[in-house]
Amino acid sequence: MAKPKRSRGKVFLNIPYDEKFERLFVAYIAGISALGLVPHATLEIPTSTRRLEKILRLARSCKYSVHDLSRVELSPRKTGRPRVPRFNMPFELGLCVADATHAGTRKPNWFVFETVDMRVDKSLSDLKGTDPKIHGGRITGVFGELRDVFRRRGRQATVQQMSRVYRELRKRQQGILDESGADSLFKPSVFLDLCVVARSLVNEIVVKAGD
Amino acid sequence: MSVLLNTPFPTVEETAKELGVSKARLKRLMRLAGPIETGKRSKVSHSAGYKFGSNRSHKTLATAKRRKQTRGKAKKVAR
Repeated sequence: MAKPKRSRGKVFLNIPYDEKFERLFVAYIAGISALGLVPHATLEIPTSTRRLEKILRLARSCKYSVHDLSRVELSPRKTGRPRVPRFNMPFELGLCVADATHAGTRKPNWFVFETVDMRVDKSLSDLKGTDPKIHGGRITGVFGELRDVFRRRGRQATVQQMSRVYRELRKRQQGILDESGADSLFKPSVFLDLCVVARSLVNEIVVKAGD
Repeated sequence: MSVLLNTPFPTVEETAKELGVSKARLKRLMRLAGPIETGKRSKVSHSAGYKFGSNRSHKTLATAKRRKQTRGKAKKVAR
């Protein structure tokens, strides 16, 4: 497979797509956008037989990747038996780690986020020594950890500015859903719309404020 | 572990182009994004003759304004 050119401002967002994660999903989009980066997710990839190849291509096209392992737990009872843990996130993390190792990347370009401290050590002990970012399931926790990972000289968005972008984005969420005729945020068009609207809000709240 | 970013902030158009969002859709989204509410109230309010603003000396109470506006017989009664 031809290796796509890595774009410096792209972040591959590897997160669970479930209803309970909606708030943090929007928080990741708001936070990453506020840092001047563009989020990408597997939501953009249409379901097909060549999905895995496309996921790898998308991950490779991004300079950085953020992996949230908060849902490495048994699926809820209401989803029926057998109850299984979600392997998508650790699997995609593995792809990115392998790719970075293969490419011989010296600078860190993949980052692990978690809700619960020390859980990764138990669920994925191979990652010991990688310092996962613990957000505690809080929106401001996500913003704080993202700021910690992605630093910018000069115009670095504050947690308050990120929170404002998040609030404004949430206000427009229903409008975006109506525009797409969707009932969930985890739809390809909704994700793209959220990213574009977030960028517009960041330009108002972060960029213009710094000028 | 952290990285230092030195890339400029992308514009809305650049972001839309990268994500494959069409120009027509971008236009609709920009309308949806709209202006951001600043949380400040406008200086002149048309409701009840009360002026909102930072300078408290300029405020006019609704009752005072009503008294000033009454004319003729009604004014005599009000006195």
